[in-house]
Amino acid sequence: MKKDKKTIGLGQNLSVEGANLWYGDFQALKNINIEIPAKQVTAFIGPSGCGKSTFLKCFNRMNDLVEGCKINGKFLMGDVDIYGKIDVNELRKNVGMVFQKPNPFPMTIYDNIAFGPRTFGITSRAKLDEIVEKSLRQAAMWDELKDRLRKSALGLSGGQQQRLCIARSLAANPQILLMDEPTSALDPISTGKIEELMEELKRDLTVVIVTHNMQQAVRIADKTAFFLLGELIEYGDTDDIFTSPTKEQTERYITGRFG
Amino acid sequence: MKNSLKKIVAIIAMVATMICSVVMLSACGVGEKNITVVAREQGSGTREAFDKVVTDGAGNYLEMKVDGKKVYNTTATADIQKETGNVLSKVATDANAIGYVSLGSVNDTVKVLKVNGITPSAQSVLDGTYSIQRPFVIMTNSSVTLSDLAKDFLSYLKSDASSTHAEEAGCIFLEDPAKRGKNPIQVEDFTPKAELPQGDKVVINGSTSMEKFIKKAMSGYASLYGRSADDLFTLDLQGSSVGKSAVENDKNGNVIGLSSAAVDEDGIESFNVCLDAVAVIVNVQNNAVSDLTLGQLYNVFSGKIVKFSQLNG
Amino acid sequence: MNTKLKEKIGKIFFGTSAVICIIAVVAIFVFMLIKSIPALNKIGFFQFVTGEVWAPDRLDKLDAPTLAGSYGIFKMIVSTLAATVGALLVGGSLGYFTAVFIAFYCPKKLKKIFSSVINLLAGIPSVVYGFFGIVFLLPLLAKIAPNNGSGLLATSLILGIMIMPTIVSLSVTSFDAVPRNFYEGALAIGATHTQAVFGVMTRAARSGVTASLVLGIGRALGETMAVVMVAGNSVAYPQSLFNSFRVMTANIVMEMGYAGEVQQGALVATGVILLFFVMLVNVVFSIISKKAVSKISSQQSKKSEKKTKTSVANSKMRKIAATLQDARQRVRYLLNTPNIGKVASIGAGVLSAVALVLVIGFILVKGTPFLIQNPHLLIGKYQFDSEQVTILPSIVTTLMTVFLSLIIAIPIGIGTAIFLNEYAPKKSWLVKVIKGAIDILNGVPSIVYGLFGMITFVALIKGTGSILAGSLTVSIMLLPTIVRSTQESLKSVEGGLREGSFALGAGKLRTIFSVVLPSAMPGIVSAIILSMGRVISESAPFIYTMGSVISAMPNSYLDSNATLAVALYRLSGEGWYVNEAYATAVVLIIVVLVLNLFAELIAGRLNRRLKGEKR
Repeated sequence: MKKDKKTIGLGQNLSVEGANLWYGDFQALKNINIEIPAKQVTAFIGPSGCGKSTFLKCFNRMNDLVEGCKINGKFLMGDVDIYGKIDVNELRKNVGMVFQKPNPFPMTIYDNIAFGPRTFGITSRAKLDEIVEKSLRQAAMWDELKDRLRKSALGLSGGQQQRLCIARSLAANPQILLMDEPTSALDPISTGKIEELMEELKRDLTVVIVTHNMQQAVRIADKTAFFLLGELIEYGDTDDIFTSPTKEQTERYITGRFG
Repeated sequence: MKNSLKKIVAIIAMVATMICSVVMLSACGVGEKNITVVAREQGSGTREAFDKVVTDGAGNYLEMKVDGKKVYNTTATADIQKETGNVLSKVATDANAIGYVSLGSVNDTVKVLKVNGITPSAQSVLDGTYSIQRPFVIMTNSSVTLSDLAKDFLSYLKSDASSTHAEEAGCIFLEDPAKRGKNPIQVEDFTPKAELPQGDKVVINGSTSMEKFIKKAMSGYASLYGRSADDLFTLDLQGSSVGKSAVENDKNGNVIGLSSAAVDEDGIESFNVCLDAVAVIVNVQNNAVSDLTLGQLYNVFSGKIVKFSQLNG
Repeated sequence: MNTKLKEKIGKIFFGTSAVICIIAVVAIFVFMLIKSIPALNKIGFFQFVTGEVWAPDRLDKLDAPTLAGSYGIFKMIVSTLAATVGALLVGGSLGYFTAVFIAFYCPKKLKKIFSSVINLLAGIPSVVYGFFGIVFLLPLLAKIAPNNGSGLLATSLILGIMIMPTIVSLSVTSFDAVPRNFYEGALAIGATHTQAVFGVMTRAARSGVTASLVLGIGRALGETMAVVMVAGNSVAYPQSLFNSFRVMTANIVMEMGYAGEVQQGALVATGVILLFFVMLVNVVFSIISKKAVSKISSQQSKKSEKKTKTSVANSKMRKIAATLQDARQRVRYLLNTPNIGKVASIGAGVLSAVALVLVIGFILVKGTPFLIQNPHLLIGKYQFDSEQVTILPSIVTTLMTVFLSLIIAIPIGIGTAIFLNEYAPKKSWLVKVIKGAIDILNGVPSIVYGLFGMITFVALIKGTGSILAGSLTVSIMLLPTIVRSTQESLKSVEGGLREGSFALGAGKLRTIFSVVLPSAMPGIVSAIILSMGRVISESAPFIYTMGSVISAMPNSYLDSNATLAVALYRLSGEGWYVNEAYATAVVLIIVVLVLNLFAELIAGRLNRRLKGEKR
């Protein structure tokens, strides 16, 4: 498991202090402070354009890919500053991401899952087989797919593709899994399956999920953070947020006054 | 609906425009067509020979110098082609065309005209009665020492073996020593040496009009030594001028150049191996002309006469 | 770490490829300037560019006190511009609408065949188009012309057909790359198929289409052989559609073989002027397309400010929204011009098919009978002085050349495209320089490449022509096509795939090789096919670098020999072997067809392996 890959010794909790982010002149994140606990599901909610996806992408430094993006503030994983002198690719191996639109590679199912491990030098067929099976089991897809491993991933349905992408991320053995509206494009049954999956995953991983769907947050998240216009308005246990919010904006959002 | 009405109107308008333009354009094509003058590009040996001979009799040539500057009098509407074959194609497919090509290239898709009553032939070229002619010239570098192989081949070319090859290639062998170079050059006999002379492969570069001739000479020479021409020669023909530069830049003593126009440069040693007539050709179906004077040729090629019917005779 | 090293090496390789392009351009420029400046000095630059009299004297020397010849190319500059505009009108519109037809209207089963057939056109040599012009087109035009048919119209038609495959190929790649959700979005508003195609899809493919037009213009500017045969070539202005005129490239190729010192310099200087035109065209095009793009984006930003404060992170959503807004406006407009687009596309498809049938049919009719009756042409053993021509050595020479030139050009071309698209920061001056270099390379006339190759590769390698020198020369010619096509293909790979790969911790190199390149394969393969066609059909670069005489079977890359196209040119040149020339043209077409099919087979295999059964 973790022994055959060099890890940077990242803890599984995230702590952010004074984070600001600009896209050119536009400030997308304003002075965010948050402590995300290990091995729990944390949800980011808020209306469109409030910065939650942007914030999520800070954790695996995907924002580095956007030209003109400037970030300051402290981002710690455990006690490691992820914007310090570390190898970005190592970081991304340890912090997985699932996107809103499933993006399986145009390859076989097997190759999709093996992509991560192969990137990090695992070439032994036996080892890869093991990892593929483990990841598919973790994603509760092994029985469905075990006879189709050599077929193209593009032949799967939307829900299956998304779960494949989750399995693919898991194959890289991350400690933290970021999910950006992972079920917004899926049908209720697939959504249900993925939510079940997240319950399972949090036994080993920290999960941070951005969602548009408040009911989803209620169903699966231990902690919830509410964002609005680039600011973190309120953060706490999901129950508290939804039954007794302390800020007025939070209350107006969750009661549907605006969306 | 409004839309379909607009569609119909648009289509009718388009079709009407097309018909009108075709009618107008075709009106231009009615009546006897002008002569299509087909010429070679400036700098072609064939053209040079033609232009320097064809005159109106009053001192004007198709190519001449006026106050030290070159003047070309070929009409500005001429169709200029780069290769003999293209001239032939043009004349063969255009009933109103007239052009000029090397006599050795003429085929039965075109008709050859007499000039001043003379038909181009070996005889009329040699005795000079057919005036539109040019030499085929063999060139070597005058300062570098030629390799034995090159020297040997050169004497082969100077010998009467060339006369067979000239005949095979359709050009006219020059026997008269006085005409063969600035200083008279005898036609010798050629005896092959006991062994093949030493030397790198001889590089032959120059006029494409001489390809037939030189290939015959190359295999003739090679077979005397029991070899194939590929073993002894590298043939790369890119035009008289390139042949000249190749000879001028010869450091090894193994370059032989071919020129289809008279050579007068320093640094190049040359001799004329045979003569070639430049034949005036028209389309096979052209019955309007069979014999033209130089003056008439001048007027046609300079654009003064534009229709065949304007020529009397 | 090992991958860090690999990443570095990858970056260096791609960067080097891009730099090689720059070096090639600089070298060609330097060569041309060195050859032309002494002559220009003597003639006087102003006199050269604006003088109307072109009457060179072969004997003029650089050190002579005065010149006997006149060296003014103004009339030829005007002629070139006219011919290029004509070619663009014919080839551009025909090519564009044919591409639309192939991408959006052609029944799926025919699509493959049609594309392959258009690619076939790309492999036909210039000389053959010239024949077609002389023997078929000109007599036809003569019926409505005051002269024998030659002139601007004939030239525009022939050039148009010649540049059409380039435009079609790249445009189809771009059209195919437009995401399907744009189309569906348009239909969802109630647009018809035609309105969706012309309102949304073609606009989205703007950059690729523009690139194809620029490539096409470059080809037209640099074309020589075919033009020489149908334009008439007198030094005159193209005053009407039907009078003899001479373009700059024709001037170079017609006189280079015989040119004296000063004349040579003037001819190379003509090439330099041509290059300036190419650069001008590229600059103008980029200004136009920037204006168009900024118009769209200013509309975008106004509307989106009104609606919501969209975050920049949702750029994809915004793009779709903006295009839909555009589509709405377009739909309103197009409702007033019912189905003209559809008619134009189908019409163009038909016309292209007709042109194809005419050109290829013409060759087959003229050449096949002779070929069948004279199998010696094809399989005979070469004998030095036999009257019987054999072109088997030329077939082998051609294959050798294709192979080597592709091996050189493909890695460099793809490497450059990868560098431009995946590594270089978008707006940097480096990118602009490289793009400029590629565009210039595209516009260099093939004959200038030949002269350049003669001075560099030939002189360095053996002193006389060799297949190696020819292959090196032509590989530079292939770069622009490969780079541009690959760039467009890379652009078309969804960003989501790259993101997914990065998010898994893969570095750039791995992402490119494992994810991006495979997805971009179809476009890359079509670029390769186009390039193969180019190599097979070119003659001018080879004549000066590889030799032009048909000889015995080549033993190595150091031998000099003639490719099929050059053999064709030689055979037809002296008028003795016209039948053999046509027969060679038939063989040439067959070779192109076979190579194309082969490449497409490989592409199909690759595709199927990647994407599994379903598409």
